Parts: sequence; structure tokens; C-alpha cells
Amino acid sequence: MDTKAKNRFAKGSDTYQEVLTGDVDRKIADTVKNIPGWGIDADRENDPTYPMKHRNGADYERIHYEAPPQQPLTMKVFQSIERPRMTSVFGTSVPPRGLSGALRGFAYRYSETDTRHWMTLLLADRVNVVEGVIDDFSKGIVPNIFAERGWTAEGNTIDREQSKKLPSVQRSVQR
Amino acid sequence: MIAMNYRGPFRIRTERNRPEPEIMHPNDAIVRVTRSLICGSDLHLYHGMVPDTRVGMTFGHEFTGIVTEVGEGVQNLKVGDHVLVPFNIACGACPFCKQELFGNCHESNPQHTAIGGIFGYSHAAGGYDGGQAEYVRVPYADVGPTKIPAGMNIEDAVMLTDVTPTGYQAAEMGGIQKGDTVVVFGAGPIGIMAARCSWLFGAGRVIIIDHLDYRLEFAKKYAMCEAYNFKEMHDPVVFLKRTTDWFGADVCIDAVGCEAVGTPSQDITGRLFLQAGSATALNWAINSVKKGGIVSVVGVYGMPWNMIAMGSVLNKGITLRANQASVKRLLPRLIEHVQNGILDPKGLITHRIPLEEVNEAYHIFSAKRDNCIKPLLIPPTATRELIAA
Ligand SMILES: NC(=O)c1ccc[n+]([C@@H]2O[C@H](COP(=O)([O-])OP(=O)(O)OC[C@H]3O[C@@H](n4cnc5c(N)ncnc54)[C@H](O)[C@@H]3O)[C@@H](O)[C@H]2O)c1
Ligand SMILES: [Zn+2]
Ligand SMILES: [Zn+2]
Repeated sequence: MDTKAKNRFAKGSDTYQEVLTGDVDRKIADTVKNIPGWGIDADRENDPTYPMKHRNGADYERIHYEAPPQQPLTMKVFQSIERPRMTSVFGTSVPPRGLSGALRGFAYRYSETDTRHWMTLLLADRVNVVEGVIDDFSKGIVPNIFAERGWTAEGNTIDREQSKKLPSVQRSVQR
Repeated sequence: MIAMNYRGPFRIRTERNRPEPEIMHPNDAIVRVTRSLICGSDLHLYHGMVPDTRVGMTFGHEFTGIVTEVGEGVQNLKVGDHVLVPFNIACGACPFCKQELFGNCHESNPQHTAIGGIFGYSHAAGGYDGGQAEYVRVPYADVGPTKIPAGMNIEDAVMLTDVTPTGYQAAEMGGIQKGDTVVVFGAGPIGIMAARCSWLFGAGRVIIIDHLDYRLEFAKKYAMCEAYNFKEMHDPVVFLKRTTDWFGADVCIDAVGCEAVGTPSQDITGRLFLQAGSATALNWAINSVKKGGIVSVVGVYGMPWNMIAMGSVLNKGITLRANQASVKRLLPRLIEHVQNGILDPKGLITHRIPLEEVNEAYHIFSAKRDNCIKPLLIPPTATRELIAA
């Protein structure tokens, strides 16, 4: 963790005190401050997010934070339109491909508040399942639905035996 | 390497020749998994409820492992360290991480802004392959991963990556005051841990609600709480009102999430994708809490929306609190509780299953077979170590 930032916001530090007293300048326009009664009932302690959030003013400095270095983009990764840029890191599990990929591309043209975003993604997921089966067949793999659904666990005594053996092995090691 | 491979709803394969992950960022580490758990959250993926869950992905966000490689920017970890890895991927530098909202990092999920990055949790949560595999790429290795304290049982360690902090945070968000009556919906690992942790905050009475008798029995013993089966009630809300002097509970915790059963209209609209699953447990929580009470939600809800009793939230003046657990924030305290013997996270693990049988493990956990509470996966390399030791 960025220790400099941590110290700056640590409990008891100047910044922390400023946040508590409301002296951190949030660039509040003077015109606002001139509104009769502005701020007379402000209460720093009125913070229902405590203790989930350790309020320390980082919110007010948000555009100045130093993001970690950028992970190089080596494959197609969709970016939310609610973001100005890619995040510093991202996952590379399964790049978008085929029809499902195209559908996902369409979905990511809409924000997280738009039904088209989520519903298109769900549709793409279903299409992707069919693509997965086609892909399997093309590689000569016939999906064993019975095994994939884990039904082999039902009354499969050999496997049961095996999984029962594990805890005993483990227990003997831990003592 | 061996890894779990998602093929579609209810379909999982053990992949044997998946390429091992590589360092992709200076702050990455590669970890060889020693233990990995299946979570109730994985069931939402397994059941095809989370948008942008791609065929071919590896799930798993609760794991421990040994560091095998570090990127050039990593300072706190070195090869050989045995770490527990919080399920949140957090940068430690964004305004949210700086305020210890590690479950809400702004620099780990390019696809969405509402959700921080989570290992093995679909592309809706960043598209990272997860820990139900032999090796995992761990971004921001200096922030999340925590060395397993000497002498700590590895099963306790892996339970600190999600279940323990989530259950604890559920109770913490409840703002429990000494003597409060706390009702926990859901007797899965999360609900049971939430019930257990409610006592730590001074609850006067803890009640857990589910419809699976074996889980209620387990919860009663493990969390030392009252346990009731909602299938045996005419109406769980009326039952809870009656047992709280007709005022309602002080705090209600939703540890079920979007696959709650019990209300046909919710079930049907959920199945038809008219809403993201079903919000039965949340509505029960809202309707059985007292006026001015607090509802703490850790049960996961999907996208885009759910039918919840907003009118009651308003009219009763309810405070709704919810979040993904901020694992790193809670770890120091929880490690203490485990080391002092106050919490026994490993006690929730009922099944230890080889990683190669991950398909069966999902089935057992999902179908609630064999009195399963929490299944643990052990990769073959770790099993060999166990046998050799
Ligand atoms: N917020 C977080 O950080 C976080 C972390 C982990 C898990 N979770 C979520 O917590 C929830 C529980 O996880 P889990 O591992 O215990 O899952 P689980 O599936 O094992 O447990 C859910 C339990 O709820 C019960 N249930 C179903 N409908 C109910 C109802 N109407 N009322 C009461 N109980 C009902 C089920 O019978 C089951 O025992 C999931 O939604 C999971 O995604 C959240
Ligand atoms: Zn989990
Ligand atoms: Zn962050």
C-alpha cells in the first residue's frame, strides 16, 4: 500500500482533523456559501457508513490520486462507458469471441443503468453455451453432461471413499 | 495445470491442460493454490444468473497458496510465502481503497463501475480466472495477500478469505447494540458465521431462519443461536413479529441473496428474468425489522434490479446497509479472534474434495446433498504434500 497516502490520512493526522472539522476545501463555490443558512446544520459525525468506510478525506482528493501502473492491453477487453479509461489491471480469462462476443460488444455500449446492457449480456451468455458445445465438437470432444452436472457424485462409492480419505490424511498432518 | 472450467449453467469440467497463468503487471504475483473453497456466490455463477459469465472461465475467489513468482514491482511478498488471498482485488491507491473500502476498488474492474474486481467471478467482476485451479494470477500482490500467521491452521486461513469477514461484516453493518435481537436469514456458511459474530457485538438474542433442517441443526450448535424452519411457518414475518413482542427485530441480516425461495411471485419473476433472481429474504428482512431498524445485506443480488418492498423501507424509516465484505480491513481483528480461539472458521467445512472432482463438489453443494455446509477443494499437488508430510 502507498504508505505516504496512508500516513497523510491516518487518525490524528492534520488531514484527518481537517476532515472532521470540515476544513478540507472541497472547492465549494462562494456563491453557494452565501446562501442563507449554508452549512449551519452540517454534522461531521453524521456518517452512517462508519465503520465500513474509514472517512479520511480521500474522496475529496479523488481526481489527484496516483493510480498504479497500467497493465498492457494484449487482448480485447471491454471498458465501461462510465469510466474515463481502463483500470490499472484487468482479467484476461476469456476474450470475447464469435456471436456472443459481438453481443457483448453491443452490451458494453450501454451503461450499467441500461437494461440493454445486462439483458444483452445474459443473452450472450446463452449463445456462448451453444458456441462452447460447437467448439467441443470441432475438437472431437463430446460433452459428458452427466459428469459435468456432477451427477456422478450420486451414489458413486469409489469417489465417496476417496473424498472421505482426504480429511483423515489431512488431520494426521495438522496435528 | 488442472483447473475448473465452466461450460454453461450447471455444467463444469475439470480441465487438465490449462496453460499456467503469467505475470501481466509489475504488481502481480503467481500463487500455487494449496486450498480453495466453493462459495454460495459461486452458485449464482454456476446457475447462470450472473451476466457475462463466459464459457471457459475458472471460478474460485476463496483460496490460499504459495507464491511461486512475483512481478518486479512487488515488495512485500517473496517466492515461497504462504498467503491467504482476500476475494477482493484491490489496488490500495484509489480513493475507495484509501478509505478501506477494499471491496469497492476503482482500479480492478474495467467492465463495470458498481463492482470491484473479484477473482473468478465472471467478466462482470473483472474477468479474472480464479482459485479453483492449481495456479492463479494475483494482481496487486502487495495489497491483498496476507502471509498466513505461523501456527494457523490452513483451513482457518482459507476461511478468512471470505466467509469469516463477510459474516463478521454482516453483523458489524447491523450496528448491533448490547441486548439487540438479531435475525439472520439463511443458514449457509455466511449466515451461520453472521449469527456467530452477532454475539461478538453484544446481541441479546440471535435467531437464524432457513428451510433446510440439517443446516438449522448445524447453526444451532455452531452459532449457539435459535434456529427456525420457515417452511413450518404460515408466515415468517408474522412469526418474527410475534416473537419480538410484535415490534420486530432490532437488526435483520440477509445472508441469502438472489436465489431465495419461499415466495412464488418472486420465484417466477426471477426465473423469467423479469428480475435478477428473487428478493424474498430481503423482503422478509425489511418487513420483520422494527421501525427505525437496520437491515444489513451481504446476500448477493445480480443485475439489473429486484422487486423489493421500498414502501416499507420508507415508511418504517429503515436503514439499509450493504456491501461486499472488505476482507483486508477486517483481517487483523479476525486473525486475532481465530488465534484466541473465539472463532472457529474451519468448523464450517464439511467436505474435503479433490480439485479433480470439482464438478461433483458443485453438485453436492448446490443440491445441498450429504448435509453439506462448506466444501473445500484440494489440488493434487497439495494432496501429495499432505501424504508426503
Ligand atoms: N457480500 C459479500 O461479500 C459476500 C461474500 C460471500 C457470500 N455472499 C453471499 O451470501 C449469500 C450466502 O452465501 P452462502 O455461502 O452462505 O450460500 P448458501 O447457498 O450455502 O446459503 C444460502 C442459504 O439460504 C437459504 N435460503 C434460501 N431461501 C431462503 C429464505 N427465503 N429465507 C431464509 N433462508 C433462505 C438456503 O436454504 C441456504 O441454506 C450468497 O448470496 C452469497 O453470494 C456475499
Ligand atoms: Zn465467497
Ligand atoms: Zn483501489
